Amino acid sequence: MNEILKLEEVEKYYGGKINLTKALDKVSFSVDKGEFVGIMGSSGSGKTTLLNCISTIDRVTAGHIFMEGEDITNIRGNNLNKFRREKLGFIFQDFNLLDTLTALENISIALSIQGVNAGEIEKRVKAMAAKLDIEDVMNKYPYQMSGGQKQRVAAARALITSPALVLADEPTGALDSKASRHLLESMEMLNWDLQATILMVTHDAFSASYASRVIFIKDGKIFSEIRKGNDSRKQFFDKIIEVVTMLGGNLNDAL
Amino acid sequence: MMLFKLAFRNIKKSIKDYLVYFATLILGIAIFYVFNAIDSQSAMLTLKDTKLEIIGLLTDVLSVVSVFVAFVLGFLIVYASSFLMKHRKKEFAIYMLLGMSKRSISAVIVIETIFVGIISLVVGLMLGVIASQGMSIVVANLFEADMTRFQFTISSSAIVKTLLYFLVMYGIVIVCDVFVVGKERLINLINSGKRSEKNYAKNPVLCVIVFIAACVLLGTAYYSVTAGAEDLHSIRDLGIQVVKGIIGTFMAFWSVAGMMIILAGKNKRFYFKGLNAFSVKELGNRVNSNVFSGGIICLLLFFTICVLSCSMSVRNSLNNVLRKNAQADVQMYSFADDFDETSLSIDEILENNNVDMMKFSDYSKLHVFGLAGVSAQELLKATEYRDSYYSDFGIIKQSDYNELARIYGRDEVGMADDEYILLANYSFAVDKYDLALKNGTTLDICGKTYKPAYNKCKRLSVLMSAAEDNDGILVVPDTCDLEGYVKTYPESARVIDIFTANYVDMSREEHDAWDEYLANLSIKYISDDSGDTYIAVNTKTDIYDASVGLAAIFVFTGSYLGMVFLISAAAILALKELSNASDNYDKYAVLRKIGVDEKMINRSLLGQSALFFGLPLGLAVIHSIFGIQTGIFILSVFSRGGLTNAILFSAGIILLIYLIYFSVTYACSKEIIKENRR
Repeated sequence: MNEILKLEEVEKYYGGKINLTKALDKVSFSVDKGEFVGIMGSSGSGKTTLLNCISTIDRVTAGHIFMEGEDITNIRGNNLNKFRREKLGFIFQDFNLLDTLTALENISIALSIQGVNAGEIEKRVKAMAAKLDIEDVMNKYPYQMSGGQKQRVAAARALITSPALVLADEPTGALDSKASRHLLESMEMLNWDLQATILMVTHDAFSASYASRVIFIKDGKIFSEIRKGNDSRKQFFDKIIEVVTMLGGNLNDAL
Repeated sequence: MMLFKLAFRNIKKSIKDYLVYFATLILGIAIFYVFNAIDSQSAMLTLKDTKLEIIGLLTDVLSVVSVFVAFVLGFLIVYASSFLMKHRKKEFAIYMLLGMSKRSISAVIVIETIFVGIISLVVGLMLGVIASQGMSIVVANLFEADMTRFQFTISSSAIVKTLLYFLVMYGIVIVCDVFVVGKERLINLINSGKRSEKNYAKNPVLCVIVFIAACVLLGTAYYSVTAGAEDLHSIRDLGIQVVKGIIGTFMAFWSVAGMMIILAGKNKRFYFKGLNAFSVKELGNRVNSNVFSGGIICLLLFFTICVLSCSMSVRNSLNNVLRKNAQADVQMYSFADDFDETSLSIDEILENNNVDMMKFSDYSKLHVFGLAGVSAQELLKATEYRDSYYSDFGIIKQSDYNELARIYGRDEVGMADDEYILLANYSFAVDKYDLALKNGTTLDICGKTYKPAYNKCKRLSVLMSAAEDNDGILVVPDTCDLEGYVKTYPESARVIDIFTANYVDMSREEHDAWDEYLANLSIKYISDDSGDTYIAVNTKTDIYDASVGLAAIFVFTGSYLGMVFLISAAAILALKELSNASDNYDKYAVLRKIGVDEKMINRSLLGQSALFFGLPLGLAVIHSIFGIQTGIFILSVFSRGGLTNAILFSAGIILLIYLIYFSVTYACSKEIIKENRR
């Protein structure tokens, strides 16, 4: 079986007895290897909580999350860091590059903390840079790059370790439409070429339309799920919009 | 009332950020009190008059220094508090958004400062009072005071003075802080949380050039003040080297981070290991953004090390000198200003004043002759120092000297009939003399030629002194007809009578009374107006007291200034490090998200902090290796004894205080970058 990620009845509660908030309410789904899954939902729907639980930054209240068969809700302490460093790659909305490091150093740090040797690091970073078309910014600092370049560097950092799962949190949130398209095409390409499994949280239908499957979340519950199948991206986009409309059209600024 | 509550909560909440500030205030207050309370130490109360005079002088010196110290501390406190204010802008923005008037916000600041002020003053003064009891022991040790009558003392005048100075400082702090908040506009306060991504990376080629230039500047300055010190003729020459050192220091700080990054980047195996690249770049960025303060701190530390070591060394060497140069109880000598004056003979003086010779267990009377042409210049005529040293030599006969040596408890000297021995211990002169003696330079004395008995001068003096200031006395065989020569050529010779004695066993009171009686003889002859001749009386007690007083002034002033500079430097570093940690919170959060272990993060932080603290200290230590030698060279009248101990002792103190600041800072910044704090 090719199941990378499996969520079983995941619940996450906030607050105390009086004002209990169910951020996640019995969420179950699974992601197969090589899938590009989008998760859509409005603000407060629980999608960021979901991402935090999968990335072990937050802890579930109940239920289980399996990663390549291992129950990650049972991992504790330093093993959590080990798990994140070896199995996950992160792409954040605001890039989160380290501003004192060049693009090259930012990407290589993901490998160096795994103890990969210097020669190997150079080789792999070079290859990844070529794929993402960021070779000419490798020696630049984040403040010298455009938003799109920064996000592609961040994507390179996330993917360089060949993680089991890449978690992208609103990766296009801080980009203009051209840079967004460029980044999404890159992610699509990486998904195809490297068989990278990507889980992307977004509230932007356009971004979501690059995924092969989109899961909709509302009030902490899975609302529906659609697959791209053999549709073109445009057709898939229209389907997404339909669901958004069904959701009440208030996926704030869905377009 | 609400404002009070707010102010109180603010302090309680941000106690971690304030810890370094608090510690510095308390230390500053304690040090200020201790050094201003010295005159009222119980140990001082048991001292006799001559010592009290010295302590009066010491108190005067320290109170002048206190004014300077107050300026330094005042600057530090204003700096530290404005630094903390900068990090609270967001908080003030929220107050303003909630509709609090600037007047109320100012009131919060005033209440906070008063609150901090009261606590720090109370704790600081308590600490100071306790520490000053320890100081009593140091003082008693220095002045050999009677510690049996030790009692707990509190100096009210020092407390008042401390309160006064620090209240003024807190007043200035309030004015500055209120001014800063008052002129700030809301939009700026709100946006203050967003940090512009500043990058201080510098052109690597330029860094290498500047670094090499800094090394050259420092290297030549080091050379000039040590090995090349002979060529330094004036304060101005020395000043040029000091300026070179200062410029070199700043240049080094400007370029060191760039150099470090280049070197680290060259070693790929090191650079791409764990968080090394991150640590190196972060540290580089921090050093680059603190070039000025880094340089200043380095110079402060350098100054601290030099002042502490030199003052301790002066004290140690003074003690050694005393043991070697004040070996008899009392010494009197008469001398004339010029060759054509005849000095009074000591015999006459003793007789005329009916001095009871039975009170001396042992005494010697001897003549020191001065002959025109028997001088340092003559001895050095064949050396390169020919024109660098002018001084007439005193000449005494071997038997006279041996008698004196007996009283001093020294070894007697002997030589052949055509030989002389040179006694000198003035460090400027001895090396030069040794060169001439090694060459076997002969001297013509009373028409006869003498050659040196030894190839070095004996490091001894004839007159008792608190310093090693004998620049040349010749011991010649008894066969040398000095008396005859003086009779024949009275116009080119002069004679000094020296009377040296030890008292018989007597009580301390009688001893002091005799000292005073004999000392008064010299005053009597000065007021007697007996031409251009003088009587000088030195007692062992006086020499010890004067020199201990001198040592005390050096040690106290040195350690006072040293401590204040040290805590200033350490506090500035600590504050920079802490603000840096809170600025970098997000970076560490990212590192955690991508799976970096806590251990790795802490190690990186430790490395960065250690180097950030270590760089200025390291350069300061290198500076000091050369600076201390120069300091000792300048103070060379006091000889070079005990320097190693002094350096070790001051290094210990400096490291201790520095380490305390470092550990507190590291612990606090670790706490600041910890997860879930915000």
